[in-house]
Amino acid sequence: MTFAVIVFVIALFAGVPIAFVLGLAGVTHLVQIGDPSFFNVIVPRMFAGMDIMGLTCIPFFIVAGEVMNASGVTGKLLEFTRSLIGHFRGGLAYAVVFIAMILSAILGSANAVASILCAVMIPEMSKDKYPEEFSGALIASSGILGPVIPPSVTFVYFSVLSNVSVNGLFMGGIVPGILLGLGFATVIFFKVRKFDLPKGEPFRFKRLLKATFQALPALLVPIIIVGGIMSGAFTPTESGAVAVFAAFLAGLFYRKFKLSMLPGIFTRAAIATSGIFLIIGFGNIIGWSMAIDKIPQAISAAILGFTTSKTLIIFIMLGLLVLVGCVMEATAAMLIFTPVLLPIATAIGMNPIHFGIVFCIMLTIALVTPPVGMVLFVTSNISKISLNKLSGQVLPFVAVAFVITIIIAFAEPLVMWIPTLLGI
Amino acid sequence: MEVIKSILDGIAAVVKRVIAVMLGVMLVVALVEVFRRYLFGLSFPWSEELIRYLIIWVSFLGGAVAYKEQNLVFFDMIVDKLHSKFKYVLLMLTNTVSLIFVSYIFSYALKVINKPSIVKQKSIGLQISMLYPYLAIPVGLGLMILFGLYHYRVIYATYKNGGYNK
Amino acid sequence: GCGGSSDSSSSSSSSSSSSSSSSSSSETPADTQEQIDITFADYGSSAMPTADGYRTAIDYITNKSGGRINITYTPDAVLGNETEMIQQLMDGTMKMATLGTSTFSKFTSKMEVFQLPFLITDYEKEQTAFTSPEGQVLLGSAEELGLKIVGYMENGIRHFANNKRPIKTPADLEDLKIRIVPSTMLQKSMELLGANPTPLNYGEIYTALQNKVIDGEEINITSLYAMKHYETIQYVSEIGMYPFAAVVVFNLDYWNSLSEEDQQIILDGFASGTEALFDTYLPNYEIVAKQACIDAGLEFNTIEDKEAFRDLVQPVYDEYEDMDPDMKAFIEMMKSLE
Ligand code: NA
Ligand code: NA
Repeated sequence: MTFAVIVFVIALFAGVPIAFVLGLAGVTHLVQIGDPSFFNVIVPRMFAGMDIMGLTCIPFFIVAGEVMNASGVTGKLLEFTRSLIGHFRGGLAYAVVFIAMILSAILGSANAVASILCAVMIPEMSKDKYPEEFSGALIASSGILGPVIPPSVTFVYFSVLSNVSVNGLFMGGIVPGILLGLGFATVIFFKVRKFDLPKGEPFRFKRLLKATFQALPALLVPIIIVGGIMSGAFTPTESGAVAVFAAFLAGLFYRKFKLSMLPGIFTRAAIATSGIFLIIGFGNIIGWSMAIDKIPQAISAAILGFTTSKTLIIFIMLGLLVLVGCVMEATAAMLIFTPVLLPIATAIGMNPIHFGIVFCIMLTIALVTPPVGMVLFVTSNISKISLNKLSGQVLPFVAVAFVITIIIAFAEPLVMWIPTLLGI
Repeated sequence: MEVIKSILDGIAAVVKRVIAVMLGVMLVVALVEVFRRYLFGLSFPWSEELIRYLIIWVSFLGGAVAYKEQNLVFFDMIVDKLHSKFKYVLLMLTNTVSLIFVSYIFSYALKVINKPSIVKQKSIGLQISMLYPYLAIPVGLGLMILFGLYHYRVIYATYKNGGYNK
Repeated sequence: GCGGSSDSSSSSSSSSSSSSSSSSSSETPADTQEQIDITFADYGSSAMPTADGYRTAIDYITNKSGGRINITYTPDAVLGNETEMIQQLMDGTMKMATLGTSTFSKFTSKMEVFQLPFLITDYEKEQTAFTSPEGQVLLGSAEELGLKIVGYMENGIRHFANNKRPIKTPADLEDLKIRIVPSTMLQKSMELLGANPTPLNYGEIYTALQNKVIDGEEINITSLYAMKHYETIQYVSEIGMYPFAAVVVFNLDYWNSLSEEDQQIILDGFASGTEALFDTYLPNYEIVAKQACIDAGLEFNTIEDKEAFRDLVQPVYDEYEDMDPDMKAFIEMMKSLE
């Protein structure tokens, strides 16, 4: 394993594409284990990692974002938000968090929220003279809200791995989701004071009225998606395809969308998709090698052998998750570390729902922690902002998110309040 | 050299068309599926599989194009700080590491797709041999090797023209 | 991303003990035979009763071999899903794993008849099915794939669960959107019964039930409980549609490399694990699971007239009987048990 870690670090910093870095680390680990029959697993593992129905929403949401942009839907939605809160200093930045929270109540994943915001908000924020790396970082961080505010594919996946109630997790995510939203707003409050932003136009009720009226068909898009999922017309996985369709219809209404735009949109979306899926595929090799090498068990034994203090163990778990989150793809990390950490958490008397929320939020934050963060990659891929610039700007948001998670980890009632109220 | 460049550009252009069409098909199938399920409570057993397998094809073909256009995400902090000879050497090195790695996986992919565990495996919905979905991997990686070899030429030319100077 | 794990798989991990257990038996003299280390991968959950069956089997094998045969149990699909598992077994990457019988349908139809609706309707018949010569012939067909089946466990027989109405006759299934395990045979059968079968990923069922994308599912009580589906289900109609068995599989070459004595220890070990499963683990778990469902307000009923359901799926029986004489023999043997 040590050799694999060394190869990983060197290749990563030398600038080898991340997908290959993950693959190299996995293969190196297999070489180190030394059983030649294990090499047969490499290619099927890559395939299996990408061959997951739940992931098919990713390209669709990328397309949906592009279609919404090209069709003028985004513009109308934005004009609406802007006429509402644009007169505040940094109003557009707050709007991102606000819209992210609404989208999160519709979508289940950070990638979906970030990719749709990326296509929609980055050009607008650039017009308003926000530094693009700040915009990208804000959007990537807002993506964290996606799986924390219910519904959530992350919680569903954890529930599958852990046997913990999905309902309980969903309800437990509400308060942390709102806290994270407030936390990000605080970061914006301090950040925007340093930017030289143009002065916002004064609030005019007439403008708001007009914008609201014009945005009605555009507002239908999220309504169709929410309504569709709630009423059961389609599954969350299918919502990506429906989002594209709804955006397309609204685009036809605004008469801005042309069919000739489709090939370009599809090509760009396909290439952005490939960047994400190659990372998932190549990253899946090391998940297997670690499991066969019993790395999770070794970690579990090491932690429990070191101390039995609840406070200390929670801090150790959080610290471990920060490190893991920096370098591992979240799905793989979840698969590997649920069996390591859940028994420890139960042993120190943590409620499984409480632990699940903390664990899932930590690995969700990891989606934006450099160097390996899926949402960072998605944002970088779609917006063409360099990973390097994004990584720096994302840190204050990440820091605040970590502080909130630490509070949540020790203040169990914050998580358990709503589930307990509902008798879960 | 120009001939090779135009051939590779041509291949990339074709691949781009292909992945755009694949994504379009995925989208149409997914939408038809939603409406069928909503209206009739029915679904094709093959649709979900088709979407998943097309994603894998899109990923490896699109990945090859992304690699050609240096669009795959990489950690750029150190590369960005280097100049001239140092940048040239590092880029040559990382390209070599990538190429060796891709070639290694490529050789395994060729072996694996001919094993009975793949060839004899039939997908439940589409009832096709799993060879066809798996074929995306050697095809995509093969293209990456072609594009990767050409990278040497690009890096060398950029260096000679002073492209890596401050 | 979300996860699309397959049926009766995953869930829980609370105790992923690699049960190499304490082998304190110094009674067996250390002979010249070599130490055997095997990783035993399970796509399923370590919290399901099957896991207890495997642990019992492994303990038996450890003790009987004096610790010489060391099997490391690795559940919860950490080494891959079922499809990956069968590939790894065929490629020789993995020496030993456990798989649902349905996994084989990607390679051969022969084992599909173990899940033919309303053929194996209780655990007694299931044990006959797996040990009968006719059943052994079907299991033996795995050797054509380079695999050796040495034992089996049961996850729980399947019933109807939905949130519209209790199912008493096939007419009650009319137009219900029922989630099924992705399988052509089940798809046809449910259509013949008048329901609208919807193949969905195992992990998506809970949300689909909650959102009313589906009205119900065919499911075992063990999973109904373990996967918390009872939170979104109202009626459970017990019928025993088909068992959800998992078989213990070796890579054939590796199996053949073991001494006959060791092979026998392993076979006996899994036989004892299966016995303990049917005697204790499975019934106990089903009692706990059913009680939890009842406490959650679910209504249970038992379907008396199974024949009415079986008659409707006759075309599927005809199809499988025509497909292969071995399957025909097996179906006839099972039918004669009545
Ligand atoms: Na959400
Ligand atoms: Na990270």
